[in-house]
Formats: sequence, C-alpha cells, structure tokens
Amino acid sequence: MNDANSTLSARISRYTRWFACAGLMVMTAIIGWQVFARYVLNASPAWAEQAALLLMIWYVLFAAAAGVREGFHIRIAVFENSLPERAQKPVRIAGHLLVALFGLAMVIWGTELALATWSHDIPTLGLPRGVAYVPIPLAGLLIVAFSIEHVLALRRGLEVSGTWS
Amino acid sequence: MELTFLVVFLLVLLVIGVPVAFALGIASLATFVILDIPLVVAFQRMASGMNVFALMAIPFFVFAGDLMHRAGIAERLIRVADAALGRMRGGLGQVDIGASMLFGAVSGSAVASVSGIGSSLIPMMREKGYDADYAVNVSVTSAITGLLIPPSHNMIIYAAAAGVSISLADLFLAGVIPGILTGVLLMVAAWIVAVKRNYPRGAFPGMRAFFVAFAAALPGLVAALIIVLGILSGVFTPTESSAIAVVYTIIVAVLVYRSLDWTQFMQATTAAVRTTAMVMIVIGAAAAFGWLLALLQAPQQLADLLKSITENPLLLLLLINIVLLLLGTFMDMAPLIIITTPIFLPMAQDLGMDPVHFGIMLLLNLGIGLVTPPVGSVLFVGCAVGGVPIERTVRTIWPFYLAMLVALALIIYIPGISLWLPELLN
Repeated sequence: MNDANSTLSARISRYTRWFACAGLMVMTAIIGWQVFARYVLNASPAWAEQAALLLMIWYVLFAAAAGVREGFHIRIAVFENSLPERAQKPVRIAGHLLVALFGLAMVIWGTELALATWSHDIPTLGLPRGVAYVPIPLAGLLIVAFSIEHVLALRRGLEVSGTWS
Repeated sequence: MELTFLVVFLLVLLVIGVPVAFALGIASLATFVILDIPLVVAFQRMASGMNVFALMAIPFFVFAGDLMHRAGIAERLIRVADAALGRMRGGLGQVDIGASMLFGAVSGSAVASVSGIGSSLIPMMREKGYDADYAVNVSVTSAITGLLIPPSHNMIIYAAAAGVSISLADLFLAGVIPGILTGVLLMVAAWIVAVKRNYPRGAFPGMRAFFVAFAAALPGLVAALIIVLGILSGVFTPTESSAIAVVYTIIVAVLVYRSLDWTQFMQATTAAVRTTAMVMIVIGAAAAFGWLLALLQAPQQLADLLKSITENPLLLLLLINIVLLLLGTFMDMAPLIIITTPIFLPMAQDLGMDPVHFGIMLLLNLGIGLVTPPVGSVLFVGCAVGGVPIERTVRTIWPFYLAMLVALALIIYIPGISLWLPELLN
C-alpha cells in the first residue's frame, strides 16, 4: 500500500492517541478515588464525577476526530465495495467531503455554543459550562483537516496509513 | 415530508459509506436547516446526549473486558468449559458456547468475546477435525449470549436511551435467564449438527481437573461479580463498580496472572478509547437525530402505520421484531439501540410490555443482527479469525439462527423469562 502520511498529521494523530489514553487512565483514577474517599475517608468529593465526565467528553471527541484519520468509525462498506472500481473513488471522495463539511459545522456552531454558555458555571467545578463545549470546535478542526488529507491522498491514488495500532 | 427527507438522506449517506455517526449528524443538520431551526440547537442536543453520568460506565466496561482478554482470561475460561463439557459429542462446540457465556459474564462485548474465545477455539476445532464453517458458526452465535449475561455495556446504552425510569440493576438481573436460555438452545443446535457430522468427543478429565481449572479462572470471574454485586447491592453506582473492575483487573493481571506488560496495557487502553469514541460519537449524533424524529412525530406515524396492518398485540410485537431484525442486518447495535428505543418503546409500553422486558428483547434481536450479513461485526470478526469466507459460513449457520430465533420468540412472548429474577430479588 502506498503511503501518503503527512508527518504532521501522523504526529497529531499519535498525540491524540496519547491524550485520549491518558484521559481514560485519569478518569479511572478519579472514580477510583471517589470510591476510596467515600468509604475510607468518609468524605465524598463532590467534584469527582463531574470532572470525570468533562474529561471523557474531551478525550472522546479528540479520539473521534483521530478516528476520521484512522478510519475506525463504524460504517457500511458493502455497497461501496460492490461498486465498479472506477466509481469507487468519487464516491469515497464525496463521503470524505461530507464529513469535512460536518467538521466545519462543528467548528462554527460549536464555537457559538461554547461562547453562549461561557458565563454559566458547571456546578461543583466552578468552571464555565462552555469548557464542556470547547472540544467540539477543536475536534471539528481536526476532522476537517483529516478528511481533506484523505481526499488529497485518494486523488493521488494513495491511502492514509494509520498510526494507532 | 421533512421526516421522509431525514430518513432517505440518512440511508443515502449510509449506502455511500459515510460513517454511521457522521451520516446521522449530516442528515440531522440538513433537516435542521430545512426546518429553519438554529444549528446551534443540533450541537447542543449532541453534547447533552453525551453529557450523561451513566455513560461513563461504557469506557470502563470496555477497558476491563479488553484487559482481561489480553491478560489471558479467555484461555482460562476455555479450560473450565472444557473440563465441564468437553466429553460431549462435538464437545469443543459445547466448550465454545460455555466459554462464551462465561466470557460474556466477564466482558459483555460480543466482538471481544468472538475474538477472545473464537481465536483460541476455532483453530483448536479445525485441528481436531471439525469443519471450519461449524467452528465459526458456533463461535459467532454464542458470542451473542454475552450481550444478555451481565454486565453488558449495551444495557447501559439502552437504559440511557430509554430515559431515567429503568434501573440498571433490574436490566442486569433480567438478562441472566434469557442469556442462559439462548446459550442452552445454541448448545442443542451445536449438538445436533455435531452428531450429524459425527464430530469427536473429548475425555472427561475428572472433578479435580475441573476444580483446578475453575480456581485458575476465579480471579477473572470475581471481576464480573464485583460489577454485578456492586450494582445490585447499591453499594457502588454502575460507573463506580466498572471503574473498580478496571483497577481490580489491572491488579490481577499484573500480580496474579503476571501476564500483562506495558505494551499490552497500552494496546488495551487504546482499544478501549477507540471503542468508546466510536460508541459515544454515535450516541451524540443519534441524540440530535432522535430529537428530530420525536419533533417530526415519527413514533406516532410508525405506530399508526403498524396498527393499520394489525390491531392484535401479539402480531404487533412480531411486526416490531421483524422491523428490528431487518434493521439489524445492515446496521450496528449501538446506533440502533439509540434510534429505535424512543420509537418502539412507547409502542411496546402501550401493548403492556415492561421496559426492562423490552430491553432484553431488543438486545437479543439486535444481537442477532450482529451475526447476519450484509453487515454483522461479530460475523466478520469470526470469519476473519477462522479464515472462512462469509458466504461459506452463512450457508450452514441456519440451525444456529433458528436456535436464536426460538430464544427470541420465547423471550418476547413469555415475560417471566426476563422479569422473574428481578421481581424475585426486589
């Protein structure tokens, strides 16, 4: 298989993986601490559950963006694969462009959502509620970039090779 | 009109191979534009669909299951099942089903089960003279029992989709008997086929060997007990029990089994992150999609349509199940749970069905979809592991489909199979 890895995008994808893995580990630690604190220290930390959820939203959105590059999202490939060879490429490119468009929408309206909710606080954390929405435009940006990378690679008859496994 | 557009556009996107989450998102955004609703509302629906405390148990379940798989728990469970069932005619087929049920109790993911159990047993069966198609048939269909035997992260998705009124403890309890029933029916099917094809039987190693195997697998099974008992007793929330199961599994894998190194640990973490991202992004996108379905009154329209065909509640239930089975053949489980629950659950409740009972029926029904072509993730993994083309597998899989359909019919029409255990313990 030909390799169309732009080194920058491969690196971003790899960093995203480490960030997401660290997110899951910290999330485990936070909930573990919550149980320990409640039953051993007799003091339930009020922030723990909310913080873990916030962390999960962040790393899930970044991992989902990387999934666009790595191509691990659930999709139905049987119909596409049954198309004649010549028709496959334009269909694939169209699919990636649609995903890029969705990424763009995430950037625009995700930003709007984050700004609109910035003055409200998340209870128990004292952070602006908008913090929970910030990863939407950021992940959207990555999705746009990764989809376009796929399109460019396809046009040159190449494939983007994954970095996650 | 808008409803037709939403559904047709979604289908077009799915057919051209757009990932399910993005297809749901794009079709929803386009419909928001047509309805002249601000798009920021769409993203707010998506974000709040993911911003649910109960969903935090999903990454933990997946993480714990994957860690156990890599720590070698699957092999230990196979040894337990082998000691108990290996002496039957076509014993390895029975072992496969038994081990899948045990693994289902540990991990709750059908794909993890077929890759964990199937990857050991399929080569073993071929070596002993079993046909490859049989080995794959048994492995993929028995993996479905893990969706019903608690813990099961798909139950969390269902509980989230159904709203707050369902207790996860009840769902977990309700899945036990249906899961065992499905497994036993599959065992019958596997036994009949094995007798017809004259497969060999293994030797009974003795009670001692059974207990030795059981003791070796026990630390892994305890993780499942932590999750289930923690939730049932109310000592831990589902999120907490699953997080404790992760910590416990790491300790067992590193200190007791001594079978997990850093590379494997990172692989397990990555796999958990990947699955979580796949599922959560679908949940988010489906939340916006489902909101539109409700706005456009899809549940009522579908209910009216089905009721125009028949008024008989038993036939209506049958119709609902046929629709779900058809959807399941070409779509994956998590998105279907989230999309179909708000549509069909109100109808089922109208017919007097308990939401817990409906959930068990839904999980088995959509689970069957995981082993049917054209799209069935469990079938695909099983065929890849067995090195058998899908066409050859499905030619001989019908006795196993039949067993699952019989189980489904029993579960649909005898509510007690699902509801007896939760009612007994409440």
